[in-house]
Amino acid sequence: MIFVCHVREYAHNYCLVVKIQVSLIVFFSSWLYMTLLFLLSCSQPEQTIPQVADEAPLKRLTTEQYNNTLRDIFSDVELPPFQFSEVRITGFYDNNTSINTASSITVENYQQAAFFITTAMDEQHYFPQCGDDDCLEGFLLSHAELLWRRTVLLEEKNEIELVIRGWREDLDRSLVMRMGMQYLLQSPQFLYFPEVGIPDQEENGMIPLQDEEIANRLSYLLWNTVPDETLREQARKGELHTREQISQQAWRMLGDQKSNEGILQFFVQWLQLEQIGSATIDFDQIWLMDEDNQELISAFLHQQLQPEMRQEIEVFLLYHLFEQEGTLAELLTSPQTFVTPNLAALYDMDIPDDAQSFVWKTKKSALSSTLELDELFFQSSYFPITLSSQERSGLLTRVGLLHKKTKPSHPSPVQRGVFVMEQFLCLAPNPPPEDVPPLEEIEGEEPLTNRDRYAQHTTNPACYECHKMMDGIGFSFENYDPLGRYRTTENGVPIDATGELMGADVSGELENAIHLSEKLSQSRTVHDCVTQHWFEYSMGRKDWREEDYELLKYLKAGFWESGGNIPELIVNVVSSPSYRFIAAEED
Amino acid sequence: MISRRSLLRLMGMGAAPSILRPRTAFANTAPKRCIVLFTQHGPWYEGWKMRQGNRPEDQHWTFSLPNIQSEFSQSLQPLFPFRDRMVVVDGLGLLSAEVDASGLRHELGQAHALTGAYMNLLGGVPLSTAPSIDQIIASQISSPQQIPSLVYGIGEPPISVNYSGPMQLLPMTTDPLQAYQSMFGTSIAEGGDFSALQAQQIKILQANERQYDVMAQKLGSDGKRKLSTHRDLLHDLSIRLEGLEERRAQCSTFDLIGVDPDSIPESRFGYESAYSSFVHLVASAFHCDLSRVATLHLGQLSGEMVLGEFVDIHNNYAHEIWIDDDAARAMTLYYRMHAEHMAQLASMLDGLIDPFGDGAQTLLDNTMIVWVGELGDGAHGFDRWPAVVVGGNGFSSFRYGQYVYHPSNIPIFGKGWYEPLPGMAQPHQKLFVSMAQQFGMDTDTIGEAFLPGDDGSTIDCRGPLEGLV
Repeated sequence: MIFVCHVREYAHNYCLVVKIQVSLIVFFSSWLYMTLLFLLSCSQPEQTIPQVADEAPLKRLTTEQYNNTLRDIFSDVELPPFQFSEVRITGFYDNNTSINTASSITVENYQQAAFFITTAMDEQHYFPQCGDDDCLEGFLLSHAELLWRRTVLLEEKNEIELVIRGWREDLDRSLVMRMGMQYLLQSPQFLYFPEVGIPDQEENGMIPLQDEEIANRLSYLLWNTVPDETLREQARKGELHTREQISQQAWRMLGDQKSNEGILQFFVQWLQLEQIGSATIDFDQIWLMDEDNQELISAFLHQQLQPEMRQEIEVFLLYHLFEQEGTLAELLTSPQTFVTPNLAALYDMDIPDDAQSFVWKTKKSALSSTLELDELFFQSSYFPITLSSQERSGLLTRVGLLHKKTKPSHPSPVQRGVFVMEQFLCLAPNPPPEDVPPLEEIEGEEPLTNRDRYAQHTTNPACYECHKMMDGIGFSFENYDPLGRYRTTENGVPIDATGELMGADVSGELENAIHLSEKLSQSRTVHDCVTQHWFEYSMGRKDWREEDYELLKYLKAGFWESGGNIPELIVNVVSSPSYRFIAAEED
Repeated sequence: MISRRSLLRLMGMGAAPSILRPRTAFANTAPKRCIVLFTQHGPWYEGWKMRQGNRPEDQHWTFSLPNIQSEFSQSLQPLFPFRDRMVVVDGLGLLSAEVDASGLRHELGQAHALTGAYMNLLGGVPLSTAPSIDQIIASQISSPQQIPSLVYGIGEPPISVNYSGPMQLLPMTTDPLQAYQSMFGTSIAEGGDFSALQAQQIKILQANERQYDVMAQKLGSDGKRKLSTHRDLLHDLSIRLEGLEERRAQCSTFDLIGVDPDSIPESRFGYESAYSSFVHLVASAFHCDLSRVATLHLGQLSGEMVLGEFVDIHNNYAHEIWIDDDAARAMTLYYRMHAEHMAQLASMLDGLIDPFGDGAQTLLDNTMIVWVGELGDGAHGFDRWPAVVVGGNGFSSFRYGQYVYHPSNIPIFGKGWYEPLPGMAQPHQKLFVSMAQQFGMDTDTIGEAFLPGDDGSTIDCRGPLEGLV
């Protein structure tokens, strides 16, 4: 399996402990595949790309990036994951630069974290015993370069030395070393991504970014952590600013296991996977296991099953993105997946006796807040299986995504429909009006099926105008119960999973969710929407200017023409002018 | 890191409520502290409101809150023990949100509720264009040596509602342990020479200030603004640290009793235990004078918590209060549960003598707790925006023990959400002006001063609310 080459063990994050031997041939295949994609991706002439410089609002390390950066720079020091108070808004990616201005609590969080870090370093004998101040200054300057992820400028070096010498006048050397580290950990060069570019080379209002600035952009987008030595070396040599140079590095980075975490950061937020952990089930009405104690069933759902549902999607994504063709169509139609015995039961599948498993770990902090776990990671063993193509087709029919949009006792076609509209069609439904009529149940005429329950939405004119689109999509998922299990009847009545897709270039009647997935996989509208989401995440902003739309148009066309190849879309964005140039501000 | 034991010792702060304790005489002084209790959705008005006699619905009136618990509305009954120290305001509306066409109604409610100002989109993010009332009050009553404000979220509220300035949303802390560490962390970890420690920390922050200053000059307008803000916050923190370590350390020496150590959650799950921990933290912060302003932002209660049923409160009940009796009953209980939260907070504060009072006053005597929410009702209405103020004894200008009613008769531009009604109630900015004036601020405007009324008229949002003060 090529898959395991890529998603092999990665010490502190999403990691796969491989139990399968990987052959060199497989490694070579993976490398060859990425190289071929690189050559293909560079075939588009530069002049066709709209020359749009990034507005470049100032980015700040997300909490995840802060922790990852420390982990990778101070690999010898055991540090707890820090948890900072950050503004989070549903529907906006966590790196959105509109909401990253520091507040009082932010600054205090950083100050206290810096204090704790140096305390831990002290306890773990990280600091050298310096016999003179040259040693002290050398130590701190070398750490400035590590923490700032770039070459320290002469004026910055002078400032650091000035600060240290000032403190040394009345403080001992070991204390100043600790203070110096705290100073670096609270510096703008560490906490932010200040980009000044090369103003001397401004042309037509476009300032080229410095190579080291590009290295940081690439690394924190694709790996969610610091640039590695190869990337930094490319930058130091001045070989990281042309489209080809960046593409080459981006493909290399995508072939590295570290991209698992970076890329998943986007997919987890785009697909709202964190919501899987917040769904609740009424076990009086929905059977999950032969157990009378509801608390035990609930604990099993929240502490075991939901994290596994989430992990299945993570593994599914990485497998298809990096070890298969990596197309959007594949994500929407593939019957391949990876399950635990618990998930296999939900899919009503047997795990083949000869199936080989691997362990997948996810940071506790990345999972639901309701997860009670003493360890830092949640982990389970996964087995590859092929699901029935009559019942399942790609992402939208995986139990996790079906379960997260449910009511406790019945699925929610409305929420399932809205999810597809917002995340795959980029359509925002109107808010409900004030006089929302209830879904009335007349005594003696209780609905036999979930579809009956929601039928009033489409028979009542007050509901119909908005719900025709949401429910039209959502009804096609009626074959799946609140836990995502396939069903053909409900209360003895055959399931009707027909619906209608609107608002897309492939609009039309739907037979079921398999049909919907097929349609979406062939839709230009969906490909454009995914491009838009990735662009928003990559740029860390949503307020697009007219010229951004020009670039977006080009990127959308490129994604569509590539057959919806997602790695190619990723590289196309990071090698675009907006990733290499910042806009000069008018005085 | 802080040991769990030391955390628990500190978090165990608690004492029996002393509601029946003899009161000190009223003194006409400004309150010393402020807490905003912020909740989701809105009540069912019929289950929340109170009436006495046959007072006309189209006129302004007040009455004394009843002395019999059963005469309190079902939603507000848990607050009965505080009846002579509370004001129920039944006569406000989020009029500015109603005339603001820049977003969805939940977004508008969340942006306008504490700011009284129009919303705008920044990078596609809906944000308010003015600071929130808690921050305005904090700027008036907090000293530079104090934590400016505590913003805590319970049960994962959808978005913060506190603004330090225009478009400047403040983050919430949702993990009690993290909040604790933030409040007491450094002292506990060091446990030694506080003055030396704070002197070192201040040196570091001052050196960082210079870095931010230099770097800000190199960047474009967005970078310049963000780094300048950061620099100013570093400066504030360096001032705050003067003496803070000592106060933190003193705070940690309190003999704190009465809370089961296992009840302290390590993460943000467990709504009630998280709320209880945050209440203890706010009480600790007030008692030690580490901070004087707090927001407790309560996320949506689950159907299981309110009704013992697995139901979707938002879609099944909140939206349907006007058309479904079950929904009306559910939202009445929903608000009653939050009234219990407010009573719990008030009891905690009333069980602690205010070290900065006259010796007999409790923390509650010198604290104003204001309970408001994002909407007037669960069906996205902005009128009949409910407000309850509890606290006092140390200050008296608010008409405690009163129920204050204003009719919905202000014609609003575009007729608003409630088309059959003649208009909306009083602009909610007037509550904030009343509060600000109570805290000694010389202002008659918070948020928007004027709004467009119907047929070219103008709605005046300035000044305090009649009947409240």
